[in-house]
Amino acid sequence: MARINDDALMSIDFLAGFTIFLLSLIVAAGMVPGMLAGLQSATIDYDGVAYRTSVILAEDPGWFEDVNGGVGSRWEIKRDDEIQRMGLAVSKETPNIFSIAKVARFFNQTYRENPAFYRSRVFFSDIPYSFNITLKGDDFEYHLGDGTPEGEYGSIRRAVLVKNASEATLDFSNAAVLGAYADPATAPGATSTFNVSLNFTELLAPSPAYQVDPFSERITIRIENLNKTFYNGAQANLTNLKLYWRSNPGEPSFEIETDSLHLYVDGVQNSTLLTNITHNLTLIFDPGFFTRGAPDNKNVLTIRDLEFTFANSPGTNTTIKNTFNYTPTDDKVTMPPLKPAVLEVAVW
Amino acid sequence: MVDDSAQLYTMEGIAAAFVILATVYLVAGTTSIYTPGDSHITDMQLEVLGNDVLLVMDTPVNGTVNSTLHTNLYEWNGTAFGEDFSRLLNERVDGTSDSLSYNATVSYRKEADGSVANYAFNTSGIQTGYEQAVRVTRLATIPGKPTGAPADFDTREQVVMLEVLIWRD
Repeated sequence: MARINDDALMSIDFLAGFTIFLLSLIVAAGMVPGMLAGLQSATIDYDGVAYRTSVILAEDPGWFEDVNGGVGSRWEIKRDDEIQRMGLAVSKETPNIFSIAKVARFFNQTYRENPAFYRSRVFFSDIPYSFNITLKGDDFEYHLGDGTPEGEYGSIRRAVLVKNASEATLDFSNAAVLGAYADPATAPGATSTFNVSLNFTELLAPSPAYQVDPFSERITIRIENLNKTFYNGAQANLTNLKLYWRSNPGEPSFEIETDSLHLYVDGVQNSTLLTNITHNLTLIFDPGFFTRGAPDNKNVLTIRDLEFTFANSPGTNTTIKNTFNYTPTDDKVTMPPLKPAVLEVAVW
Repeated sequence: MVDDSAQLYTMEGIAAAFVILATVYLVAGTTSIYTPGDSHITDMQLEVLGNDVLLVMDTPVNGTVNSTLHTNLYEWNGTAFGEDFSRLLNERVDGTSDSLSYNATVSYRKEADGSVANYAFNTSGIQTGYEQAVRVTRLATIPGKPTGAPADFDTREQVVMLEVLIWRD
């Protein structure tokens, strides 16, 4: 049948062209979100994340929730899975003042292989950011994360102060110390006992920036030149170390396990208490020691005494005695000043 | 269809469409649009750092002494303030120094009429007036007129305001 005319007919050219046009439209529409992603500046986003992270680190003391339902900011003495947020500030009232115990735990190198640990406790983001966090002071430097990339990354710098732990040094070559805590002129009995008393109420009374916090700070006790306390002897024999809860008389004391502290005898680390000392004895109690082995009402502010017992015999003895109060007002206890440092957070 | 003038044929049409698409995609992908609203991020970084430095200087290093900032103001020692401020402001963790400049001014109460006067406390260089500067401030209580302070400084205890402009050279 012959055609009368071409009206209302669709050419093959038009069909091909329209199909390709539709395909292009679909492809172009699919590109739109990607094109917009290219428009947003990545640097500005990273700067925001770096700022947020620096605020958590510098201005927040962190948070933990333990299995017993306990909550608080002393996360540095808790297990990894109990840590909710890792802020480095001493307390929420003292922004930009870092606790050295928190700094040490945060920059702990064994965590380095596990960036997810930090992402879920500092960055709080589903995006797996890479990061580099550095804290540098005059005599210390801590790094965490990878080296900063060649390309763009967000960063922020904060000026902070670092609070260090206190320590007590009893040097028996000092006549005043010898007179107060020993009596080398008199023969000692079968045992000598010496106490170091920590009044937690008193220690925790000042501002968090300047207090001695035995719960979350390292406590160091150095006994030097112990030979000055010997009564015709050459060494002293430390047989027992106990922790007493003095303000609760009914409460039992407990013997301190040597694996819960660092014990240095004459400069050498020792694993046992039954030991002979010729000159120096150093005890270092790590953060968290004074909450360990405690009764349920563990955070009651109270007086705790460390009791050192020495066994005496001719040739092996010491005349050490009395109670030393671990308090910052005593000149034998040194509180290091706050040290300025720079914190840099880089995120990409 | 009268004739073929101004007609785009199918193959040329496809080619042209691809050229346009590719161009648009390239242009959109390589341009980062820096809107005026985004400049607040660099300003914010300077502000945060400036406030940090003033906070660090205003925190006593132990419980018994005065802060460096308080001492600098009470001794009216702009040079000592400048040294500390500049060091804390420019110190970077890699050991290099940043290029931030500052200009510190103290506002105080005048003895004669109680009005407020300004004193150029310390500056790290000459300003051109075109700096993109941010402003951070700190209040400090001064127990009396510091030695070396301007003659019209009120002799009573007063709160002075330290205002620091910070900009990047």
